[in-house]
Parts: sequence; structure tokens; C-alpha cells
Amino acid sequence: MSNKSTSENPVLIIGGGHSGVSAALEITEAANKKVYIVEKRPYLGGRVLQMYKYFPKLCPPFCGFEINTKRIKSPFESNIKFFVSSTVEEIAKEENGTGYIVKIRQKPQFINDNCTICGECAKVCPEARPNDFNYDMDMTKAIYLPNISAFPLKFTVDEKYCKFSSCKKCEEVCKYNAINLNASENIFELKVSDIIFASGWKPYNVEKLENLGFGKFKNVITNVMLERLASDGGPTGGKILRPSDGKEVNNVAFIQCAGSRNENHLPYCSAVCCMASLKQALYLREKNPSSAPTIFYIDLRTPGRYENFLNRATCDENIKFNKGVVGKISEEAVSNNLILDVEDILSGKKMKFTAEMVVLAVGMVPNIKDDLKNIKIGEGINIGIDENGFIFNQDGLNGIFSAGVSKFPLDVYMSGQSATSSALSVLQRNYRRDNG
Amino acid sequence: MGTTTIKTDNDLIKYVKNVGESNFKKCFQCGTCSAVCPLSTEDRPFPRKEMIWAGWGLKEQLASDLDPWLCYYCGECSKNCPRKAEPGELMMSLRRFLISAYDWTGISKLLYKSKYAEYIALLIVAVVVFIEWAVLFGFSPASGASLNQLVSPEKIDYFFDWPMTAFLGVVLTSFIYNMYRKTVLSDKSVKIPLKLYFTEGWSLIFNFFTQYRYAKCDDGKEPFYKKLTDGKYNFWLTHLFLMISYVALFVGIVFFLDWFQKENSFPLLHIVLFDYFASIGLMFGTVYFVIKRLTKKIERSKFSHHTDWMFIILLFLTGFTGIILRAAIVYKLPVPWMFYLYLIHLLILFPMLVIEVPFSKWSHLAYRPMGIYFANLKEKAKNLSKQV
Repeated sequence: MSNKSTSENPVLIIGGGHSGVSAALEITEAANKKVYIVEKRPYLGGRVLQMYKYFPKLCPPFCGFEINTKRIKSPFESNIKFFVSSTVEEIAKEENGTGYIVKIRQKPQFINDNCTICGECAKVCPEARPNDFNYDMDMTKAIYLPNISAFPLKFTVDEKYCKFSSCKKCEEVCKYNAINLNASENIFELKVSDIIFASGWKPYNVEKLENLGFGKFKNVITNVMLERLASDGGPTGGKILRPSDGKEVNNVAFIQCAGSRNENHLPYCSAVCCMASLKQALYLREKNPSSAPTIFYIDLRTPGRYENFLNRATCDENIKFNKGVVGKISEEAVSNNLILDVEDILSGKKMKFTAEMVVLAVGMVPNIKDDLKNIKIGEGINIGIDENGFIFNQDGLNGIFSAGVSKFPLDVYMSGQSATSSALSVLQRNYRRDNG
Repeated sequence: MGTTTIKTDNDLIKYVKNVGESNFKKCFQCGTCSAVCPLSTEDRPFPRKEMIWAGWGLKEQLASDLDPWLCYYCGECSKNCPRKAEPGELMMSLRRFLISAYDWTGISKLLYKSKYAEYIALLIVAVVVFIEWAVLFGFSPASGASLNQLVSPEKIDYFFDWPMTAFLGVVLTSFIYNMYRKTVLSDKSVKIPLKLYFTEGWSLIFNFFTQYRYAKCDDGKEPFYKKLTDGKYNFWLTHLFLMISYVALFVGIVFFLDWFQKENSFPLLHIVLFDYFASIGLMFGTVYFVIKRLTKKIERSKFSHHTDWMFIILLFLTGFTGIILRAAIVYKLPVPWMFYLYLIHLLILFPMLVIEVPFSKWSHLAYRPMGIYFANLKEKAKNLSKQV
């Protein structure tokens, strides 16, 4: 039986990161079908924008993402309509149909499209906030540009830190009438035919790995933080300096499987960390030519053609590899150097390894499990979250799909593949419905 | 290219799996366990290598390995193991394996494999004791006779204590020689100068009487007294207290049985050393370990093999019946009571000593200090040869 009304409804994509945007583009470019993207951050692009370089080509993130934003165009010309700073509140089954009715809450849009990112507002803003884009390693004003590749390209206001009516300095200084601090939030319903979960991931809270001392020792950082340290838009302007004293680091220890493949933490392999650490070791060598990074691993997982990338790293004599992960980290009192207790399995000896900075290759935790706690799910809807929090078994018959790290841990390249796959699944389902 | 033959032994894997609860097959060799171990040294860290030896069934390596005796099951490895493979428990299983490997009679292996074998072995010894008692003392104590007339200390010495002590001595010594052969003589890479055996002798005595390695389980930087008041040494001190109490009583009873049955010439020494110190040590220690094994809150008490339970229960019952017997003598209870109490005490004591000391858990009393001694010898010998 066909149900035209449902099929005419757009597809909802939850999450406007690399997977979500890729899926939206694939659907709209392959068929005459509309798409809504709901993104909780004030910009599209998600985690990839926080990367310094992608592996294996070592190109910067806008290299891929800028093309995508061009393809999205403006909401007026495109079949893609996106809502930033928005979250899903409720998902209910459509009555007499095969689709869904979704309630969206969009935070107040204090800044309109008149914004030219001139930055005058931030100059007068008296309030500061920790910069989550740089993993809280520096501060921005309460009115700020989320990042240089932000799309839509405009400032945003952090509700938690803005003083609103008692201040209003930014409103007064803005020449373009782009700021309205009285804006209110927007709650609305969307009728959709299918839902793709592309809600991405967050780094595992490595403070839980007590023996590695993250949060206790300043010079123990995570690999996602290193991406920001290396980026021009990062807290150090692209120089890899260690947090305790701002010294340029040479002797850096990369610790693999920080949380991943650990039954006390994340039982699964996060799939990207080996390649990420190899990449980071390579760009550290490039940025600090006298540096000598050491990678502490259980086994290096560089499948398929990625092995060429591993060879590239092993060819560099200054990049050392140690089979055997670190059991314990302690800090030297004056130097703030770190002492690692570790076994070199290939020689069978135990050692105390001194490093200026430690980079933990943190595991990926899917967002969807936590997100679902705040979403009211209607009766008869089955979002099959597995024990690790992924939607590996999507309910394709009922139009529930997953892409990117919502599905399983994967890298940027594979998230593009999974997005294409989910787009194709959506179109197939709609085709079947329309044609009996 | 030369070929290397690796001899694996599937039965060994099964045996090690059987005598403990380690999931050593789950190990993916990350090295966390060796890295966090507060006891293992930089040159020969454990237990990561033991995990793969056990997983592959490398009998030669395992049987010549002294490291299980250097491990005190602090539990850091098990706590931090990302695979929940329980390396600490594997080292415990390997100690059980080693006890059966040093035992050329094969009895240990049976006792570890099956709890029924252990029951039967204990029962056989009890029956022998029962028959001996029947022949020597009968079952109807003559009225009016004193305990010493009914059960003379000389007969107990000649027919029970001394033959048993001689048996234990001979058997255990032969096992220790076997251990020496497997762990030291078989290792062609080191040759130990004769002098070292004497100069390193202190470590044997020191470790036997202090069990100091227990204290090293906590490698925090706090001072000694702080750790003491925080209770970090409770397990060690209780173990030490129990062991010293036991050794004192064993030596006292085997060589000075008179003292326990009659008035002795050093009443104060007897009261302080045996009646108070050793009796309290025995009761407190056994109850403490039973509670630890029941509550399973610390790593080293999380898993209990049937031999662990048997050992601690027999030790408790031996101490308990012994103390009551001693109290009966001191407070001059009716002689027939003492007569039967004495029999019950021996029916528990002898099976425990004859079975547990050479063939089961109790042999660690000898193997632990010997293991540390041999390991020290090898290390020192290696260092000496390096200097030359």
C-alpha cells in the first residue's frame, strides 16, 4: 500500500557533523527529497572541524568540509533545511502513516544573518567562557565566533555566561542590527518520513583511568586536545607547547587504547586511535624537528592501505614504538615531566620512561545513548541501542537508520561511506513504500 | 634460517585453568600487569610473560619459573587488567601447579584436581592415627589414672610426632631438591658460585621470618607508620602473626611435648608464648582469613580454591581443639574428657600436617622463602658474571 503523504515528508537527520551532512547531500542530490538536519551545536561540521589534519593524506579539515558546505548552499535554494543549536525533544509515530512526528527545541537565535563577523561585539563583551571548541584550554568572550570554519558563519551567544538585559553592550555596538538579546527559544514539530541518527561521538572521560593521571597532571593531555594545540585556531596558535610551562615539547609519549579495548571502560576498539597517533607523531616531527615521539601500543591496527601510513611513520627513525602499554604515570616534582611505568614486551624488560608530555589516545563514546535520555520516544519505536551505545542494528523496515559513529567506531573516510549507505537505505525504503 | 620448536602442552593449560579462576586465555599481552606490579623487577617482570606461557602451555618455562613465588597477589595486576583476565589469580594457579610439579609422587596433582581426593587422603591419615591410638592407648581410659599415665608423652613422641616430623622433613626436602633442580640447575645461563649459597643465606632466613615482600605490595610514598595506621599492612602482619604462632607451637609440641601435658619448668614462658601469643595468633589469624575469603573485598581473597578452604579450616580446628585440650589440662577437667579431646585433636592435626604440608597449600611455607632465595642467587650470580 502506498502512502504518498508520508513519502513527501522530508528525512530527519539528527546530527550535522560529517556523517549527517554527507547523508543529507547524498539524499538531496540523488532524489527529489527534502532533508532536515538538527544540530545541537551552533554550527555544522561537528568533530571534524576540531581536527588539525585528517589521515592518511594529512589535509586540513576544511579541505573536505568546505566543499560540503558549498553543496548545502543556502536553505532557500537547497532541499536541505538545517536547525543549529537545536535538539530533538520527542519522537512519536505518525498516525496512519509510516513516518514520525518530531518535536524540536531550538535555542534562542540571538544573532541573525546580518552578522558580518566583524568582531566588534566580542571586543566590548565583559564576560568570558571556557572555549569548548579548544577543549577548554583557552577562553572566549560570551559572544563569540565558534570557529573559523563555522557554517553558518556568524557569532553566537553563550546563554550560560551572557548577562543579557543587565549588559547589552554588544547589542549597542553592533552596526548591522545583527544582535537581538530578547530572542526566545523556538519549539516546533516536524513531520518526517525517516530518521537517520548521525549524532557522533565524544572522547571518553579519561579521568576514569586513574592510573594515567589525566586531570591530575597538567602535561597529560588527550589526542583530541593535541589536535587543537597543533591547529592555527588553537590555544597556542599552532605551536605544540605543553600546558604546564608552555615549553616546546620534544619527548612525547603517545599511549594507545586509553579507555578502549578495556572491559573496565570501553570494551570495543575505537578504530581510529592508532592512525590518529601515527598522524600526530608525524606532524609533531614536522612542527618540532628535534622531537622524538614514542608510541606505546598493544598492537597497531592499520588495516588495508593504512599500512602504508604505518610504514611512513616507522621509516622515521625518531619515531619510536614500544609494544606494551603504560601501567602507571607519576609526575616529577620540579620539572613536571612524567614518569611512565611500562614493560617493553619485545625485550621483556620493565622500565621507567620519562616524557615531557603524554598524549592519551582516548576512545570514542557514541553520543546517542546519552542523547536518548533527553528524548521522549513514542510507543512502538525501536531504536536498537546495543550494549556499547551504538545503533549497529538499525531498524530499516521502520525507517530508523544510523550513520557515522552512531553506528560503530569509524574514521572520517568510513563515516562518509556509512552516510552514503544510510542515504541509499532511506531512498530504497521510500521507493518501496511508494511502489508497493 | 634455523627453526625453533615450541613444545606446548594442552593438559597443562587445562590443569592450570582447573586449579584457579584466571581467564588467562583472554589475555592480549598489553603488558599493563607487569607495568603496574609493585613487586616485579625491571629485568624479569611478571606476570605478563606467565600469562602467555600459561596460554600456550609452555611447560618447560613454567616449571622452571621462580616468579610465582615472588608474587604476593597484591592484586594491582588484576585490578588494572583491561581484559579482566585475572593475572594475579593466574600466579596463584601457577603456585598450585608448581607445588604439584615439584612433587615427584604425583599426590599433589590429585589433591589439587579433586576435592574428593583431598577428603580421601585426609581420611586415610585419620584412619591410620585412629588405629595407632587404638593399639597404643585403647578407647576406655582407666578410672583414676592421670592423662600422662593414659597417654604418655613419650609414646606420642615416638609413635606420632617424631615419625611424622621425619616424614615431613624427608619428603619436603626431596621436593625442594626437585625445585632446585628444575629452577636453578636446569638454567644453563647461570652458574652459581658456591660462596653465594652462604652469603645469600640471610635472605632465606629473613624472608621466612618477616615475609617482608608483603609490605612492598603498597608502593605508595607514605611513611611506614602512616601505612601501618591506615591498615595497609594488616594482611601482612596477620599472616606473619599466624605463621610465627604456628611455628612456635609446632616446634614446642614436637620437641617439648612434656611442657604441654605436665607442669613445665618455665611456666611463665609457656603461658606467655604458647597459651597467649600463639593461641591468639592461631585463632585470630584463621578467623581473619576466613572473613577475608568470605567477604571477597580484596583481590587476593576474591577467589578461593578448595585447598585454600581445607587448609584454613583444618588449621582453625587444630588450634581450637588444641586450645580446649590445653585448657582442660590447666583447669583439671575430668580425665576421660581430656582423653577423648586428645584423640580428636590428633585426628585433625595429623591429617592436616601429613597432607597439607608437603602436598598442598602449606608447602608454600618452604617454597616461598626458597623461591626468593634461589631467585636472589640467580640474580646475584648474573650480576657477578656481568662484572667479570
